Amino acid sequence: MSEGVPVIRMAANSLDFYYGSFKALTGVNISVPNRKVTALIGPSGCGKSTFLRCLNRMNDEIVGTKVVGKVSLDGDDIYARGVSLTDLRKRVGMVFQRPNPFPMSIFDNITYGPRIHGENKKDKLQEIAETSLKKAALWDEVKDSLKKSAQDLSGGQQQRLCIARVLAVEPEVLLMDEPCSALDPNSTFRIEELMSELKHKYTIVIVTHNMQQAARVSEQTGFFLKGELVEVGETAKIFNQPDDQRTDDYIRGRFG
Amino acid sequence: MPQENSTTEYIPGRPSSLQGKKNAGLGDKVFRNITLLFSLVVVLLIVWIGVQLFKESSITRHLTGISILSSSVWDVQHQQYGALPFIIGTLVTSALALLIAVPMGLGAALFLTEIAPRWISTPVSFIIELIAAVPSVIFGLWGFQVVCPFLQDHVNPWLIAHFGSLPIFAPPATLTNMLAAGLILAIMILPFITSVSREVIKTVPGSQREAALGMGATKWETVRDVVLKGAKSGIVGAVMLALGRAIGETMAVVMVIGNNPHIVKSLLQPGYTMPSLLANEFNEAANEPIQRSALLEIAFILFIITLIINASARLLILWGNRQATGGNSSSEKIAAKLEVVKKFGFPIVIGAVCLYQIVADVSSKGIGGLLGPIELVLVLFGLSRWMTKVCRKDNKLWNRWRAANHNAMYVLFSGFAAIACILLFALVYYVAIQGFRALNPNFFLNDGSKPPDDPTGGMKNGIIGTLMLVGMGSAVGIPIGLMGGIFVAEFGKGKFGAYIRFAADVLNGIPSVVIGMFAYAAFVLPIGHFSAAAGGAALGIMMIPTIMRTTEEMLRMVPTNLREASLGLGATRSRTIISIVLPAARTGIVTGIMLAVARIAGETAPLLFTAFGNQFVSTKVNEPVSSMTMMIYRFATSAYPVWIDLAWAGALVLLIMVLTISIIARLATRNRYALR
Ligand SMILES: Nc1ncnc2c1ncn2[C@@H]1O[C@H](COP(=O)(O)OP(=O)(O)OP(=O)(O)O)[C@@H](O)[C@H]1O
Ligand SMILES: [Mg+2]
Repeated sequence: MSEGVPVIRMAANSLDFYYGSFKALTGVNISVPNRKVTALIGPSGCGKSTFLRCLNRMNDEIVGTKVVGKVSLDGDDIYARGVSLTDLRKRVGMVFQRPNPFPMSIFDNITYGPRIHGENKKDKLQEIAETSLKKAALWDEVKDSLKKSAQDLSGGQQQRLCIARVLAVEPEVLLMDEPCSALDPNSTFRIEELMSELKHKYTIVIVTHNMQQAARVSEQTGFFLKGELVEVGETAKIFNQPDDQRTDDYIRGRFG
Repeated sequence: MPQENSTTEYIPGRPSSLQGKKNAGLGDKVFRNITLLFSLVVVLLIVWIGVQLFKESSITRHLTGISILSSSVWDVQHQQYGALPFIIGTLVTSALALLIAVPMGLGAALFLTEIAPRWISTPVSFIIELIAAVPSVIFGLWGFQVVCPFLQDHVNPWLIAHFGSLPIFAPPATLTNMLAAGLILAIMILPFITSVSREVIKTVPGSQREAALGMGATKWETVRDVVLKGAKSGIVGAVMLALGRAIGETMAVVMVIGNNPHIVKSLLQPGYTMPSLLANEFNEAANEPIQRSALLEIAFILFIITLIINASARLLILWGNRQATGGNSSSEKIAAKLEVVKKFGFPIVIGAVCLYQIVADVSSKGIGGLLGPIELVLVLFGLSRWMTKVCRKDNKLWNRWRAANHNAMYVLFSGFAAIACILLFALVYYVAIQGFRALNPNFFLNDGSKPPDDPTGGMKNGIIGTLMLVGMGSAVGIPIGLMGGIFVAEFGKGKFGAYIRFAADVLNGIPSVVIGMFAYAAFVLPIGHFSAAAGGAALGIMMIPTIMRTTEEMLRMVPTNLREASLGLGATRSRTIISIVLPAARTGIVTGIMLAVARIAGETAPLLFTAFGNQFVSTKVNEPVSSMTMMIYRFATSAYPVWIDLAWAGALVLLIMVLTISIIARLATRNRYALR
């Protein structure tokens, strides 16, 4: 891989998505570059979460949904027959809008992923817990209370815990659905910092309603409207001189 | 909580410039205090039941003292009253029932919530909820006539052949025995455990399932580590409530356990439980002050036991809800202790039992004995442990192994659900087949006084009696329950309301047989004869807590903005409740009442001691009357085919009655939800 040429990690090709008979996504084409942050913006209900959940097949858990088109990870179709969902989700991890720690201790939360994926040595798990918590910038706050219930943490800490929990399974792609929407400005700032750290190792796709956030953290931005991906391109371009009038309207707050 | 807003907006000390008439709030106060009085009835009843039973059993307490709990000799002739065989029998059958029903019910609940598609889970859940309303006397009849002979022919010999060396399966086996009682009890509490577990499992937030799945957990791993963990305290609470039910269950047990007042080691031998003793010996004891007092003391013991179990179950559920929102160090300590038991206690005990059985197999059958079921299970278990260990080393194998585990568990849960459905279907099927065969117009036209060789007997007296008793019970239970429910929903937000709610739940858990003995002691003994009125009172008491709690729930579901709209127009609180809130909740409340009616229509045990029964049609309130349930019980346990047929016909008619009421009630609320 030569410098400056982004390798495509994930890609969607003419992707349609249905909830029953309702078509939530129409003809989405997008490439997700390696070790970059891709931000998805758009008004509420336009299908951002739906699209994000297509990338690790979380939508498979909802009955009556249908996917048409192709989504690939490193060139392999993730909707192909015989794809192991557990493997896929191990490689494409997800952080949800609301922090959702398990009702277990902090330590058990972090090591849950490694344990189901076959790791059972105590010291190895300890090590994983420490490195993931450090990566998620939570280690200093919780290192003395790893046995405490994860649900006793503050909202911002819980969200960083959920990030650490995903990092512990060493994913290649990290999907984040409005990870800061339930958090205060300070926690938001810490998570943004974290993202700029993480992008050196991970490929990140983030959904956000916060335009400044998209501008601050991402290299590439996609704008969704009514189930369509209107425009996608370099973040600076999307925010300064978008090609599409609708994008321009949205960025300037003329609707949505 | 939205409701709390309405309180704070209603009661504030408004500036005095707006003060109205002096007695403006009086109407509300009167209304509140009247409902308060009705809600206090539940507390009063619990105390009264305890005191009355304690007082009326003083003769035996003076005679035997505390040794009633430790003596195992029950000899009425020699005035020896030791309750140990009954206490043990009660505990053993209940434990056996839970051992069978909890894994099956939980598995079925997981199947319904996590595996089954909508078009299966919706109707099956509905049917299982319906079956929970089937009167226990019908379970008893089916158990005695169908299940016991089946066990005798097919199961008992197999158990003796393979496990006969264990004392609990030692031969000889009798037709009615502890195993049959445990099994029937298990089938009876199965729908209850399934539907309560289902409710609890549904409360585990979907976001937690997604978190686990999103990390690459299989669905089974998600269920095991997240769903079951999150629902744990709720499930434990449900199991304790089921235990309370099993311990107090009378009719399903008395007909199949064999009623033998000695302690037996083998489950294949007849035993006795406390409730079945009450049902069985009551008639001869009614005129013997000492024996009567002994039975009342048994009822008192049963009251205390179920009180403790139910109170702790409720506390556990409350505690679990609180724990779900924040950790608790004392719970962690308990969990750590349980972990030790799990790690060492169980394996040692189970290992010892297995070893014993293997040794016995080998010594009796030689090497061929090693092909028995216990050995098979052990080999499978060892194999699975070994596979886990091997597969862990290789990523690909490990994923295959996880997928295999997932599939195995899904098959297991689906199997449990299927078995539960088949058992419950078998019950309805037999009642329908036998009932339709035996049913003819005489059933409705004649009473039950015909001799056992005359096939023209009927249950006219029972049908009329049941209608009468249910009517009187409703007259007592509905107003009290309704008013009490209004109090806890509308005025009971603080601690006090919580106490009343707790008391209602505890009263709800007191076995019907205990309430029957109480009604006997309180209403029959002082008057000197059995009466329909006493039976109606017993049934009424049973209705109060159910109606109170459903009324409360339904009132709470009325949206806050509806109340606020009325209050905002200047209506008083009581006016708002009466003309806005109650009508809005009407369908739900009526449903609750209908379900309570269906439940008491199927009650037997409390009537045996109060309404007593009557061979002829009677409509007098102060005379004994019969009921369909009592007639089914007495005919079913007779030796005459004609009477047994009559019992089947009665069971069918009763079943249709109860199911019709429940179906109408449930469909009514269903539509209501759909409209929203
Ligand atoms: N489980 C579902 N079943 C049916 N329709 C759904 C479901 N989830 C989402 N939708 C519909 O799909 C469309 C896209 O929803 P989606 O959640 O992807 O929007 P979004 O862009 O993430 O919105 P927001 O910014 O509010 O989170 C919406 O019209 C929504 O109503
Ligand atoms: Mg969204």
